[in-house]
Amino acid sequence: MKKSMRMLSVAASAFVMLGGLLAWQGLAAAASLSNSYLRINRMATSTATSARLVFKTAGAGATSVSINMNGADSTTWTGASGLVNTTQTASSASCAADTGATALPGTLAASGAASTVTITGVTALAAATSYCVDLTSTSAVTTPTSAGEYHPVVTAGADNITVAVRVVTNDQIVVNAVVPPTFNFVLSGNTDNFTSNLSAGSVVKTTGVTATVNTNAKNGWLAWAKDANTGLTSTAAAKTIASVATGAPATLVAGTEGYAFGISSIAQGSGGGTTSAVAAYDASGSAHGSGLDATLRQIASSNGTANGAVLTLKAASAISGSTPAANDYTDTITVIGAGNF
Amino acid sequence: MRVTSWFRQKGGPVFLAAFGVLACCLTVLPGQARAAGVNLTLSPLPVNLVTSPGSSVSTSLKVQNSGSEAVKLQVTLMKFKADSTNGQATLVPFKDGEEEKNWVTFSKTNFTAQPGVFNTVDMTINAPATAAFGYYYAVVFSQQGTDPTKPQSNKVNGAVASLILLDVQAPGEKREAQVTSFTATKKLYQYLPASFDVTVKNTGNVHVKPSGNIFVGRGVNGNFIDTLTINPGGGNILPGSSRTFNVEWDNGFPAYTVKKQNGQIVTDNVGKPVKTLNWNLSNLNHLRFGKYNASLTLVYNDGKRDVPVNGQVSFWVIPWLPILIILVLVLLALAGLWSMLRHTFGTDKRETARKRYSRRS
Repeated sequence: MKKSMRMLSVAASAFVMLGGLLAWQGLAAAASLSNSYLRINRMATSTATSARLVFKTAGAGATSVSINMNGADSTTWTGASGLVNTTQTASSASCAADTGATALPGTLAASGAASTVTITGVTALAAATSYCVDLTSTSAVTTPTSAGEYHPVVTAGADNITVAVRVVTNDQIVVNAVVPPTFNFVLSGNTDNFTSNLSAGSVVKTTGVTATVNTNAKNGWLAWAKDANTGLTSTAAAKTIASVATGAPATLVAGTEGYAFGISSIAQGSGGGTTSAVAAYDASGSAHGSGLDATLRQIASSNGTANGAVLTLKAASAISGSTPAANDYTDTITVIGAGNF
Repeated sequence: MRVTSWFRQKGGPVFLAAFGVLACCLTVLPGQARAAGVNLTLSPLPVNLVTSPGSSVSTSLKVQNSGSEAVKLQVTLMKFKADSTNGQATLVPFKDGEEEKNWVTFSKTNFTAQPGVFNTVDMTINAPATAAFGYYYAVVFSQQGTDPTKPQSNKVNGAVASLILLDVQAPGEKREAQVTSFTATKKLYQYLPASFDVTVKNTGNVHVKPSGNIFVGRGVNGNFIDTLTINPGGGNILPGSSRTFNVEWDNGFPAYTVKKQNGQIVTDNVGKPVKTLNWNLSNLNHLRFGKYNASLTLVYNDGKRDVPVNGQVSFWVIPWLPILIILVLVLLALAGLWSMLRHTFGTDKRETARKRYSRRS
């Protein structure tokens, strides 16, 4: 009986001691952080960079967070010429929105020493909660000269975790593009009719066609025009209503034969250049433009880029009472545009 | 044929004359449907080529039919020269005997351009051993086979041209330029922009591309307020011609700026951009007042080194209208103050005099 009691007592004592030991182990041993990563914002070797830390606590109560870039294994950050800046700035203002973690609370301060960055001023952290913080200095850490995988240790209070950080030779992609100089020229139509039959009582204009220019040519652009008949020609009547003199603005007079070509309006669009009509071919006022012949005459120019610059081109004619009647008076006008040289 | 005989039988000439007298009008009836027009895009522009006598050089010209229907295009070779008055390009056909036309070949001269597709036309210039210095070509892409001219209407054809500048580098090539004029467009500006014209003459035998800066400041040397770029687009000047580069200094408060509405430049009734005085208070520290100097440093390459050309001009910026308004306001305020004081003290004097008078009497 006594022996049994003694054995029972020993077993109970052993059980209590084992239980106590287990309980003590459970209270005192560091737990592992989880779901953690350290993102350096430049992965290239020998490059200064800022960084972002995200971690999930195990226990509660941590008031400081540290990152030992060297970690616990042989892939030491500073051993491969990596650096930790002594001056550090930490902020959790913008990381929460990006990561979904809780912004590290507190009035954060940070400093670096040897291979470790320490963030202090942290309000006691809750257990099993994801937190984030940014080391905002662009030179918070400088990556090692050797590419490879490094294993910093992140510690929050008594809990820690080893994370992996990859350093590569080149972490950037250079994107190259060429925007070639182009010149786009749009003529709204190939036929331009007079708005009414020609009459000795008035000067009659054509409806007009528009020439639209779009170009990224910095030197601007030029436009020229010529015509086939140096006037309005009728085969049936064997008659040409002659163009007025080239190179000077003309105002046609009803009852006096004449034929002119001009730019009746200009819309500048939104380009960088200013489009202007050559004075002789400016038909925006009372003048009707100038004459055309078989020689290409400059009619407009611009001193820069164009985005939707529009010239409205119109011909005008006046006849006299003796101008032969015919229904085949016509002319062919050629308009050429080019980027300036 | 039947119409013609009917016309003859019915006394056509008489009828025609009667029509002419009665109607006193002719041709070109309104209301015809318009043709499709043309929509062409050309690249690159301009093209600078360099070769040596007896050698050839090639370039690829790309033209796109940016319209919605296929068009037949033809390639025509012309030359261009600088206009004697403004230095701008003038397209002219080759004359008989101008050999440089025969040096040029194209990979194709007629083709159908499908909508939205860039068509490449290779241009090769075989410069003979006798070629030297500058040659200036214009390659014109125009519609071919369009409807023939129709009676009662004007036909309008559209085309685009690419300007080609060829430098055949041979002994005796001379790259030389002179600044013939450097002026401010006004001696006195009320507000910026101040505008400068730099006229450069090419006195060599091949085109040059000058570039440089205008330094604006109070003094002649140093303490520059702004640096302006001349010829940022890299424009060329052809031999024997002049080209004027306009440069504006607009970094001021207030300053005239081009008026825009919904991103579009607002124009007046003759198509010129409307400018409005911009009182952007963030530019308040750029208030300009007094005498300024603009120092020009233009550079061109003579084939061996950069050759600088210098010039200088002074101008005034005096915003006299606001100064006048402020002066008038100050004068009015002073006049008001004086009147008030006069009234106050004048009344006292009169009062004193009245009291004295009362006491005496």
